[in-house]
Amino acid sequence: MIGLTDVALSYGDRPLFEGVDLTLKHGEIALIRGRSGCGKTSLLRLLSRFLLPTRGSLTLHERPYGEIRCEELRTRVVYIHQSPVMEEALPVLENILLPFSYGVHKTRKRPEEEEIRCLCADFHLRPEVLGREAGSLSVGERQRVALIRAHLVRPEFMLLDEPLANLDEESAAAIGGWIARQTLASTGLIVASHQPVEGLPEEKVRVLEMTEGRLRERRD
Amino acid sequence: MSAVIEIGWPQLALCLLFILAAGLASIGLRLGLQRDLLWGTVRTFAQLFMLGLVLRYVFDLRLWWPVLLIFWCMLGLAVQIIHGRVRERSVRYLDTTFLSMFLSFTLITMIVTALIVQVRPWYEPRYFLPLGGMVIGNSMNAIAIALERLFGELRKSRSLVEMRLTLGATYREATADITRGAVKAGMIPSINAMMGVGAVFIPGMMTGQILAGAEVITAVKYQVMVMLMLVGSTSLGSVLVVLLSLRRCFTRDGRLRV
Repeated sequence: MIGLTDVALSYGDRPLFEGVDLTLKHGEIALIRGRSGCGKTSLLRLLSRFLLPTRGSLTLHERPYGEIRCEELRTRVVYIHQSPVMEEALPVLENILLPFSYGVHKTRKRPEEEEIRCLCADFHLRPEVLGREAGSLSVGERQRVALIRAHLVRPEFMLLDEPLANLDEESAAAIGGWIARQTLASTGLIVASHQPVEGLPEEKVRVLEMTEGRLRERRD
Repeated sequence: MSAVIEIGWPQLALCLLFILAAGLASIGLRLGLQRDLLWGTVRTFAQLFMLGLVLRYVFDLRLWWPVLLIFWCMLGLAVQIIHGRVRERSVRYLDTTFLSMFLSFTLITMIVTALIVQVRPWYEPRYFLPLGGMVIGNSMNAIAIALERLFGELRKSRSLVEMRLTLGATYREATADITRGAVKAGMIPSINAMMGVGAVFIPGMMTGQILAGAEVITAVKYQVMVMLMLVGSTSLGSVLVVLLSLRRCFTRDGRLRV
């Protein structure tokens, strides 16, 4: 469970949002809507601790963020950038396995190539893509590779920043389908998106609207 | 061995002809360098003679602490010069730079005087200060280059570093290639200098010793020692300054400061 209590964020003396309360359980999807610049990305960056709140507290399973080691927190709550960054010169497969070269994952078993191939199929990516240089990926492929990479870390929560922006139909459908399937798994998702995500099971999705510096839950 | 030929005061004044020539060129070609030339000449005379007076005083004292005090003052000035060169305002690195230079340069100079030249006592100012000065003067460039590279690359690779952090890398893991590049950039000039020395130029220390009437092979041995000593001090200095300053580029909760 991830929790925000009375969270406020300002840049200098310019307040972005305040009084944000949110609790999200595993297997739930929070869809955060709002026009660009309203603070969706900042909220995700707070949750992955690339920003500190001006006020309020964040907790993971009721443990305050401050008590959790950065590296540990970021493997349990993974942030996926709107335009994902890759090690451009490395093949896609090495990019996907990158987290497993870090100390925090050293004790875990590296995923088998078979599993990675299955995930590629889930995301409508041909297996040949694994051998290509990451620099040659299209925007849509990049987004999907980033999701595969994050997924293999087995995070408890994933923070997706505009995962469907600038994508062709095929990529958007692949990612939308995958997001919907995550509700069957135990991962919690927080998705910031200004466009609708089709085909999500309504009972698992909470739609939140960020307007005028507040986050409000929509119940319609 | 012949003694050094003393330069008389009138003869030294004759050197001003060189400045005069440069000044005429500046006026003739309207380079606007006259002021700088004049000010530079005055400073050269004043600073060197002042240094001479201080050195003469310290040479006679035969105490260890004034020697080290002067050495550390020189270090402090070098840190100021580096600070002026490296343009980074959001990271505090003055103290880490001073500490790195203090540790590596003092250690290297002590090893050179005590173990290699085997001066007795080890702080003999006639050896310690010129050698230490060479360590500082030549290695501070390396420190500045390493720091510039570190901050510059971090700024340029911000999103890459952040991506690695989001996947659970520690700040050291996320910057491993950048720190390697910065240390390497600091080390390379002194390694390159070993390639050119004696073939492309006759280094200053050797020139000085030969002029002072030292046996040529003795001068060569000193010069070899100086070259290797500088590789040591630039390497140790670059490693320390990068490792110590890197921590400062991140907040305690692992966010990038630059």
